[in-house]
Amino acid sequence: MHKYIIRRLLLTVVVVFGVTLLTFLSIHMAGDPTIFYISERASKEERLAARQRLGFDRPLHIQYLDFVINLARGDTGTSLQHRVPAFDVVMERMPATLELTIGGFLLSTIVAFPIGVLAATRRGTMTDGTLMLGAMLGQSMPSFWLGLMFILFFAVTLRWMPVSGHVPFIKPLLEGDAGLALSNLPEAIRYLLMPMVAVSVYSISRNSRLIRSAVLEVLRQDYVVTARAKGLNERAVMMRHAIRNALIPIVTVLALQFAFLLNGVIVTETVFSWPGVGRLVFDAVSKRDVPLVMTAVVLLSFLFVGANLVADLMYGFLDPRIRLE
Amino acid sequence: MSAAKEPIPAKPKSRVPPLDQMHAPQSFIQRATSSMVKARYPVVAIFFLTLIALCAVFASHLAPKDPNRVEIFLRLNPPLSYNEQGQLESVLGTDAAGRDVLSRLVYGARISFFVGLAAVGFGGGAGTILGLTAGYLGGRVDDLIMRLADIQLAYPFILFAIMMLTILGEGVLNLVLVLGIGQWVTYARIARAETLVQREREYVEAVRALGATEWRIMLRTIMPNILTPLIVIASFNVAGVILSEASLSFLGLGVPERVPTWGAMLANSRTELLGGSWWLAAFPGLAIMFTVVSLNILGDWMRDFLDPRLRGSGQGL
Repeated sequence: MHKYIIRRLLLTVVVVFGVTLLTFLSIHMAGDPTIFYISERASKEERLAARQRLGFDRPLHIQYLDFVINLARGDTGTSLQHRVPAFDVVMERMPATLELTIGGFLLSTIVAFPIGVLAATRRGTMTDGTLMLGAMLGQSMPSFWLGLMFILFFAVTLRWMPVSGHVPFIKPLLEGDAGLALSNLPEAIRYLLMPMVAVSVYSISRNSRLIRSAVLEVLRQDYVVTARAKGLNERAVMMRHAIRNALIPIVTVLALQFAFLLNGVIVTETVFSWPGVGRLVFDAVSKRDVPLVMTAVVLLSFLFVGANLVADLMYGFLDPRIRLE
Repeated sequence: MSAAKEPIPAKPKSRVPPLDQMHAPQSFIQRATSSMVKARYPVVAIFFLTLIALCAVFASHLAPKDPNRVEIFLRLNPPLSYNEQGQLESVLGTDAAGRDVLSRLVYGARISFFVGLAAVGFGGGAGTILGLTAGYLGGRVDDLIMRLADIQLAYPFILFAIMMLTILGEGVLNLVLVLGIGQWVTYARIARAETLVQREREYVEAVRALGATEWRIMLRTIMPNILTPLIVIASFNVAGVILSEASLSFLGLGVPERVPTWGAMLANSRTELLGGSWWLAAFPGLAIMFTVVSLNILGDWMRDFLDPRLRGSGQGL
């Protein structure tokens, strides 16, 4: 088991390197980033000087190696636009993105579970049909459109909710100010609610369909028949025998969803003017802020790969039959 | 036939049909149609998709107005608004520049359909070939292709798309390229897994014994036998790609400003939302939703019909 984890962690590092290399090459393929940081009327000499100052005059492989060595030392370079360490710029925004991602993840898990189990136990009934039709619709809506509709309905027409904005919760928590975090909590949730629901509807729908089929699959197994035959009531059969075993495929998919949610979060941030990394990366790419783009990509892909790793490990943990070698 | 009509008392229900029906020859299309009619929803889905496809193909004939004609006096007209002569001016309203929403919707179908099909065709084709090659040849080639797939999986797609489209610039073909690259991994993984099973079969051995080249074995012998799950995934995938295209257009990436797309219409609706111009946001979103839901329903049916094994595997669901 330990060997497996170590190998997976090493593989993670290799994969993240691949991601950085790909990012690095593509951002440089688009031409010299220097022109974004000098005036339009700069002379050739000025341009060359700026290029040298920013370090873009060095051969590409040297620039990349430099980046990797500095990264290993924990130095991600200085953002060209903000003129502060790139890591700080990304971490300034990361808590907001995490709030939305974690909130969406929790919501989609908590809601999808009862829906999936209910639909499976009532298979073929009206309840099942309605729930699954709803899931099908939910899976076919763009999350940002749902966000727009929420704004239109709950914020503009009914005036129940704020149109956009954000009250930090994770950030004061990370800075050690638990009191501020707690006093922010009610407002933070109020602002989080609409974006969070918009982001998670797709996952709720997808997960409840998956949970339904996982439970149905288990209900077909011999041990469920045995449990019923020995006279257990339906509740005990479900709780003790069916759902426990259905959890194995479900948990894997849920953890994978976390990574998937991140994609939706970046678009949804735009709808609600949410101060997360999505918008930041967008601007950084269009300004060719190389250190900032690289840092954001490294951090996001670690999150991504991390979620997938957790999924794999959970799999082995929940099902002792699966030996991880 | 008469023998079968005789009442047979209390015969236990069996999944195996009676012998005389078992041999009733039915063509693939006959079976497909009857299974589709039995499931009901797919028929509605096909009907709606045909409608959208017609819009896409005959947009210039079907759209009531030029989708890019700016009529500033007609700006932000609500749906079903009439002009002074009492004629219906716009069915679904106009946007902030006075452009007709219905006409833009009809033209928008073009991009969604074209990009959806082209990106899946490109990504699916490339992924299938790469997966087939990896699975069949094995060794270093396999390692190289599958590590590439791992790297891509670690790359949040939206980041990749933002990056590539900012760098490549706008253009429908760039959009197809980027969305296609986003899809190949799924196909490659499945094609590889299926190839690993098929290449050990006797029929492959037989073809090899006949002296067929490796390429011929891969493309003519193995490929037809691994296509079914890939086709099922492709049908869901078109839906997914249409959603992704809408997201990217919403972010202002990919398609030039003057080309009407559903995603870009939603992006433009944002500024008018606080003024209560609901029609600008509602209709493009509904168009996306109905198109995607139809494709998903069709995909569901296709999976059950072609390859019920995939049910619950998480693919496309």
